[in-house]
Amino acid sequence: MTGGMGPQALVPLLERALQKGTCDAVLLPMRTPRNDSYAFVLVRDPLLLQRSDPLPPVQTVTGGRALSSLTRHGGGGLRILAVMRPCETRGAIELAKLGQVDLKDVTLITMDCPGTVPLPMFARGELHPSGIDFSDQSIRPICQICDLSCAAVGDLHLGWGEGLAPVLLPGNERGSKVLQDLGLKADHDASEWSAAAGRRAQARREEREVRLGQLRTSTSGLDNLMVHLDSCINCHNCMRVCPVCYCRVCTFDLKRQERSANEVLDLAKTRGHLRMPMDTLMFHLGRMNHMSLNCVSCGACEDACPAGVPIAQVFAMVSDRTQRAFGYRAGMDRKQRPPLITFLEEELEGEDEQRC
Amino acid sequence: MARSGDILVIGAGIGGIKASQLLSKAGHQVHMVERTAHIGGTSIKFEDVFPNLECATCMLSPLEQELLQDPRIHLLTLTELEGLEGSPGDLTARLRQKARFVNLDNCIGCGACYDACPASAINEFEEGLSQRKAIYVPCAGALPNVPHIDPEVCIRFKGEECVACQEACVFEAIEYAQEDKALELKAGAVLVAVGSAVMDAKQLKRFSYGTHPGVFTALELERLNASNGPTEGHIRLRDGREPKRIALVHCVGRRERTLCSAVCCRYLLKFRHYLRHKLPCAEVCEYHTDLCLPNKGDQHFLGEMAPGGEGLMRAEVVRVEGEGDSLKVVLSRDGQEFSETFDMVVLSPALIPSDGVAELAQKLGVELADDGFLAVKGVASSRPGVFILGGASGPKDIRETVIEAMAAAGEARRTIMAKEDGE
Amino acid sequence: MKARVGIYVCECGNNISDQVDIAALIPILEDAPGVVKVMPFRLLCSKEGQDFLEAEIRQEGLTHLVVAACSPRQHLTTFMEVSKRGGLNPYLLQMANIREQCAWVTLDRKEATEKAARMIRAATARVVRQAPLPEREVAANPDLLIIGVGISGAAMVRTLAGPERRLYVVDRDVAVTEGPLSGMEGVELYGGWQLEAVRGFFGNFEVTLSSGDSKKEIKVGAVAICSGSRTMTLQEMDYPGWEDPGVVLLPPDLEALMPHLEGLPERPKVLFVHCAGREKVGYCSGTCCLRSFRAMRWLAEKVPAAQLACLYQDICVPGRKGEKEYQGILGAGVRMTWGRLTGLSSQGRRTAVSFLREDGSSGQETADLVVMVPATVPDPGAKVLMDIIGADAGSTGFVEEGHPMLEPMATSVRGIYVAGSASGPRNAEASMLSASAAAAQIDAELRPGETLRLEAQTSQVCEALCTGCRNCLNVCTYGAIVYDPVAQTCQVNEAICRGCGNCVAACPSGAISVKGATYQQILQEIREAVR
Repeated sequence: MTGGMGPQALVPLLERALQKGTCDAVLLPMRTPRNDSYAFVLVRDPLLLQRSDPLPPVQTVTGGRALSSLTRHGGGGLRILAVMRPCETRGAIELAKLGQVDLKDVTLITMDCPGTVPLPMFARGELHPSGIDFSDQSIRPICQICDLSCAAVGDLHLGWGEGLAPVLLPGNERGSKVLQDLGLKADHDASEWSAAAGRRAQARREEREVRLGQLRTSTSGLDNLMVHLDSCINCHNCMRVCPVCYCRVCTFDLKRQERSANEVLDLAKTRGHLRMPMDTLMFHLGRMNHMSLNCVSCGACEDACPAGVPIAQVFAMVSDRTQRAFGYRAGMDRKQRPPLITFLEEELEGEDEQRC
Repeated sequence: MARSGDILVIGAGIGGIKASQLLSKAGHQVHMVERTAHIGGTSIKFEDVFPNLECATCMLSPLEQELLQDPRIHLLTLTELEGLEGSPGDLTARLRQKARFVNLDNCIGCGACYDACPASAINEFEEGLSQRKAIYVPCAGALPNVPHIDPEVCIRFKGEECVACQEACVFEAIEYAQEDKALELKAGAVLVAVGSAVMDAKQLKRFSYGTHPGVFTALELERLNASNGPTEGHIRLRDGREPKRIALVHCVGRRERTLCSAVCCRYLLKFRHYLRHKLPCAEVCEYHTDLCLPNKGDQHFLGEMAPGGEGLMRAEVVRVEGEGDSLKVVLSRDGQEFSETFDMVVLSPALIPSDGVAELAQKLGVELADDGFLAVKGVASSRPGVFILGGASGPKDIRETVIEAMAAAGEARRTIMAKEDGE
Repeated sequence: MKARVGIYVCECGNNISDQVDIAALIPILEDAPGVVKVMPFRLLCSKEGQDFLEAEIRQEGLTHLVVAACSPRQHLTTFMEVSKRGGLNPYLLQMANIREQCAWVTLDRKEATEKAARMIRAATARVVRQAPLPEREVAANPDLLIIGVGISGAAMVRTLAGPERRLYVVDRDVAVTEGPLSGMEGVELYGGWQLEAVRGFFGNFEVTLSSGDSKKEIKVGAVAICSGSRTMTLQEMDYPGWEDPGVVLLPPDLEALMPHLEGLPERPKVLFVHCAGREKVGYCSGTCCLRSFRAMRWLAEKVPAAQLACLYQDICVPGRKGEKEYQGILGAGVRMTWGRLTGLSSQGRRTAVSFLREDGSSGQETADLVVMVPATVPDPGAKVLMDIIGADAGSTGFVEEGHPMLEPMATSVRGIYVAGSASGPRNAEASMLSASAAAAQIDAELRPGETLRLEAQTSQVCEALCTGCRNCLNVCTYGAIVYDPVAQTCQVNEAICRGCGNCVAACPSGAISVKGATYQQILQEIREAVR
């Protein structure tokens, strides 16, 4: 359960960090005072950390986005400890590769994530837990197939869960230094956690293969795909909340995408009928084309969709394939350059068929 | 401050083209003299070039187009040098231009005349693998895309009343009345870029080339592989069958000519790429004594073409004997002889001096080396003001040819500028 | 201003008119928005055709021109010149290839006519959205920076020095300043200096040189890299037992071998080991076999009693001279053994050379003197140099040529040239030749007193949309895009940009576009074509 042995244990650490001057500020989720919700808050006063909840049961604004608004124009030497889930962290790492987040003075702290509940249900009070445990089945479909929920992608990673002694693992030199500054020793024996995390990941991987395989079949062909996208209302919310959709103005919102009435009438004439507004399918395909290589499957899109489109799962289905084709998993390796700007002599191996 | 002096370039292969373009860029008027009716030389026979297996046409066509449209480059095809008088900076070249019998300005290359022509002959460009008409371009894509009439083949020139091509042409481009012309040009310097030729493999009887149909030369394989070639890119034996076992033989003629032809090891490896794509089920064995891979990227190229040394064997081919449809290749290795059977054997005959180079040397007033290539010190010939580049002075790949082309262009310019400075 | 588009359809003799019903096309084309005139013509590329078009532009007051004819590859330049002569910006012209892409490949006449109509209307829809582009020129600095004064560097200085351009020569060796090149007109020598930074572009480079704490800023139009190469040392090759006193490296000056020959027995066995270091570097150095054979010939004359042998993997002697030398040493009885060197060791007063044969078995030879023929590697300073300049060095560390066959003297950065063995192992003669070639190219491309014509169809960045992600910069092969950290957006250097469009494809925001090939232009063309 959150609290106690879980991520709540990070709070005293963060307090000490602020007091000692190990960092200038901490960025982490906090319970909102007026409404029972959560938001990322940049905290400088250690006392305020009391109200924080490093692992809320719901994902509101993704951590990467919060970090981007803070560090996009350079951190200015502001040392920040940022606490967020693995998927949010991976989003932040992808943004760093795209020049939208500056991680120079940011220490990323991640923790094992049991998942979150769907935001609309949480907001309406239909499903409003105060915490989530690792066996919870009410988590979002995208969380149910997340095999990276215990990925130690941060500079520091907290491994925890039922029956496990929590471990704090530095992922690199920066993480080690922070631990050192705080007078802490890294946990040496992480084998128990490692085994548990491995089991969780394996179970999720299998589930992911099954579910996405089913989805692949059920979206096969344009007609089938539209079954899932038919309810889309072109609000573009999915794009707006996506941590890796970083354009100032989405190309699909540009004036050049607009068509004159004549053009629209012409098209309607040719086809016999035309769905309005026009770019439902093209918008999703276009967004997939632009960012499936960066997609971290955080599910913010599906949370934000008012029309119930399983868009996170559709994107996960596509992104798994596109990323795998380039041997890339978004946000996992900070040194690996995004496939779009990488040139290799041999690419897309294994795509040729044997002809003999 | 532009100083110009005309420069004569003999040979419109890749070397001549690069040299001419450099000289034009520098402001000189260039006169290019090409013996055949088209430009591009030997390089346009290839589909791909080593070591990066780039499409040869994609590489060469843009250069050729630029050349043809360059206002400072004056191209004379079907033209040869008759004599060269004068001193550096002040040379006079006597040329003979054969009649094309087609008007270069009117013809747009539509090809209507080819179908109409009743006379055919062997197509030399296609290494004799196909026929062409009396009025023809050597292959699709040859530039300039204007045919010429071969008076040796055309029946009209043998006395018959034939106007088939003229009738087929709506642009009034056929001109039977054209005559060979004697021309004189003044130039400050001369660049000789006539390339090399390939040894006639028939001279090496032990390889059975010409006596058994399964034996091919490298250029024949190039044309078979070429998409604009006689078989549209299908590699087949002369009777149309697909070969199943192919032998590639290195160093053919190396000892006889006392010459390493510098390009064969690399092009034979390139053939591995052709064969892998066109005949993926065929078995290929490559026999070599040494592997001449002198450039920094060549070992890597070797690794790509023959991963782990697959298909390569260090053994000398002693002889090739016909056995019915097949060929027995007798090999020698560490003093032991053994043999293997193939249905196709591809030879890499040595590169030799170009046809007629001895006569050309005489007309140019330059010396030949003892092996028949034009004698050079760097790019300078034995006569001041005359420079030799590329295959004319010894076997070379495209890169070395281009380096020499630019060096020779630079030397030519310096010759002219020295003259202008009042030497 | 309202568009006045003129469409001219070439019959190309009968090439096009045979397959395309031009008469039927005309009413369809006259209908298109902006079109004020449609006319066929027999042969537009002919003199009459060109004069006709030029007159039409003026008489009809055309604002845009569509020429439906052959491939732009063949005559785009022609018709652009016609436009200019008619007073129309050449980028307000669009060609529709209704010959190669229509008449020549469509069997059915009705289909061909329909396709031609679509193609020409598409070209019209595009051309009305095209903007006039200026053809610009930029002043070019004819001065040259030469880095490295070995064989090729010195040759370049001697070839290019003159009153029309300044040559700045930089070499880390202090002695260069007072060396044989001092006193040459227009040549400034900087011995003991090195390159620190390069900014700008071809024709307008700003270079910072440094020496200790001193810095100097110079302006040049081009840079020639002549950093050369060197041979591997025994230590670098690191064969087991390399320290054995009987093992020497083949020296550049053969006289340096003499001391090693003293004290050897009367009929000394000298074993030349070829391909030394080849496995480590991954390439054949191409020049060493010939060097070794010449050394063998020299040695045979100096010490007639010597027994010469050679351990080799491949004999690489391309060209005319090499084979003669090779057959010469074979004729002189030099024993050739195929083998891959595995190690060296002392055996009494001799040295034992261990090797692997092709069949995998081990072999050994002993010799009184072992001469290692080493691989050639790039100058140690080359890597830093390439990092500063931003040009490509391949996996071998040698400078990559602009194009391996057609541009051997250029690099991936326009205006930065390479000569000598900096781009690959080369002997002295070949280095001098390449210097001559590079000098010729620089002389032709950067002529004193002339300006450089810039590409008109370059890309440009819309700052409002740019997020500074630098995708465009990362995919630009010409280094034409820079990131401005203050504005936090990317900018295109129009002097370098070649208009290839890689950047446009890589930008998800649509913030960058190529002039003359914008989103709207292409989109409208396609829309019209498939309507």
